[in-house]
Amino acid sequence: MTATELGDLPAQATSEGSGRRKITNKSAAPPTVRRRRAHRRYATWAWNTLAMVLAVLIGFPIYWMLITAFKRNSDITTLTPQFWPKHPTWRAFSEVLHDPIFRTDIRNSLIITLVAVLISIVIGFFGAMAIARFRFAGRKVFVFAVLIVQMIPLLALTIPMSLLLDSVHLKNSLPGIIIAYLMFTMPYTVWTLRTFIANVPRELDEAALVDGCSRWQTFYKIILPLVAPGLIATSVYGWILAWNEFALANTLLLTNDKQTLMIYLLIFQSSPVHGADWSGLMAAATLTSLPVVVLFVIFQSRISVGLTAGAVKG
Amino acid sequence: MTAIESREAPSRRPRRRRPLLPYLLILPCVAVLITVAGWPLYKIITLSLQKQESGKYALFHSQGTTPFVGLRNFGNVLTDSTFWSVLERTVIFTGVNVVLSLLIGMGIALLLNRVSRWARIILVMVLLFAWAIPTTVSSQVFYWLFSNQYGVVNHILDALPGVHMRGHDWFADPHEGLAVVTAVVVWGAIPLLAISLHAGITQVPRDTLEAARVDGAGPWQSFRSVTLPFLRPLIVILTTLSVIWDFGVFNQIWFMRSGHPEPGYQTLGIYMYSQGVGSSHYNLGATLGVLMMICLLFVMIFYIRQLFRIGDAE
Repeated sequence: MTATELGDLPAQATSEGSGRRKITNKSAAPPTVRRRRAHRRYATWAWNTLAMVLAVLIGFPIYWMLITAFKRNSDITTLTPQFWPKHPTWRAFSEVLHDPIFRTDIRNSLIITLVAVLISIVIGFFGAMAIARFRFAGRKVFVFAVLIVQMIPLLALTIPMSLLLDSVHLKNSLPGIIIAYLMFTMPYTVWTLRTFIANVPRELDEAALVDGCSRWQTFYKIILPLVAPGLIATSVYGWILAWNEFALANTLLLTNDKQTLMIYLLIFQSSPVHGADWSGLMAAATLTSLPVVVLFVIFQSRISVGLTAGAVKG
Repeated sequence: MTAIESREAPSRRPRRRRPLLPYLLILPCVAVLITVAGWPLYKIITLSLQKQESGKYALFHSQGTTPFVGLRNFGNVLTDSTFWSVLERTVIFTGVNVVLSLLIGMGIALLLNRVSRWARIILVMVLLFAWAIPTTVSSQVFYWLFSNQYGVVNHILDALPGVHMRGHDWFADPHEGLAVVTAVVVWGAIPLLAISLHAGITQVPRDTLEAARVDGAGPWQSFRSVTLPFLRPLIVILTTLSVIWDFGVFNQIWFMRSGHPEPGYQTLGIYMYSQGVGSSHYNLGATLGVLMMICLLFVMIFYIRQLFRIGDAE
């Protein structure tokens, strides 16, 4: 299952172009062939149109979020919606950015996500090495356990998790939620890194061992550099999973000074102060998704390798 | 897999050290998994077997004295008609979402295979953006799109001849509301499905397709008898993942109902969360959580078996 990279998309559809060239070059082709080629050209044109209609449909919610964020409130509550902001303004963004709660929440989201991802990457890498490179008794059990934990509905474990963290006085604290987040970042990391490590040809390790490298040298001179892109991609996706998590945060973090951006969004929507402040809400939503969207679009081609290998979307 | 071990046998490395290394590597991982998954799993099962106590005070201050009542909690839930209507709603919701996402995803994957390069790049780019948007954000954006007062969807539908949607409240009737939820869920699911299915389609051997065409197979026939069988393992994995994700849909409903889903919106996850976290009926919540995991257990085991069969987990 390979990644779809924008750059190396398959050559299939480009045959359209060459087909057209053929028509001009070999105008001596029999009329039936020429007609079939013309037919194919119209078909491609029709499919392209359909693709653009779909792109507009799928992209519309994102477009609407962005332009709503840039509209004045009086331009939002018009009888006929404006499909282009007539008086674009940064007001909503600056209001959200100046909200002290939003700033605290950004900080919390950053700390929680960063620490959870770092811990899972370091510990997960060892686990992934073990299952990608060694055969040992209990290996299958370990793989099975990792996969099961990855698949367990996180939601079901919010209740026991919250009671357990409460019993060790870690509820409503950042360390507590970081521990809880390892529940999904850790199995994801182990499983995805395993795929990346398994893709490094085993012959390389063997050659290094034969050439007199120690196991440790083999690890950091051969495997680590080759797996580095995979490590980055895995961290990025782990980052996205943790950044987007809502149910656990909503259960474990109770006070303003501890909550994450996702909770900010929910509270923003339901608070009477902001009741109908759609531009504010959309600005907050845009700001919340910006870090993950940028990271995702950059790293997607690598991430999807891990995803189709059976990762959780979150 | 055994190559590395046999190669190593003649080396001077002491034999007894080898079996220890993989265990050391997975040790931290196992410790984390036991803490963040094993412990809560144990806790949720004990909770589900304990006497129904309201409030966490009773749970923590009469630690050893909360009596075990066997399967009585399960009996109570399973004889409750609310549970069955919630389960029915969840199953239908999951079925509709999985089928719609897979059909549309497959349609777009095939389309991506037919269009010109520029059209494919645009559509893939839009899909990537849609993929990256957090579910919390997309739910709010769709809530705004479908808002009764200034929602753009009502405006567009109203412009159609013979349709009167001005001021229509999509969320008054839970069926319509869940249809909007389905729209968000499918919107968020399509990118992953379309892009990985498209990646799969590009791997279909060209000469087999060519052979089918020469033998007189139409596009539909060659799709059915060449492409589809080739994609089968991928489709099976994507379907099982979709079932697990859609069964556990939470954020979309929670956000669209501003954190207070009405009874008509309660899927199993929402019902469990409202009971267990919202109303602090921890034992009831835990019982529902265990039931939710049992429902998904078969899907999970099927999925993991599939992974082992493909050899991904080897």
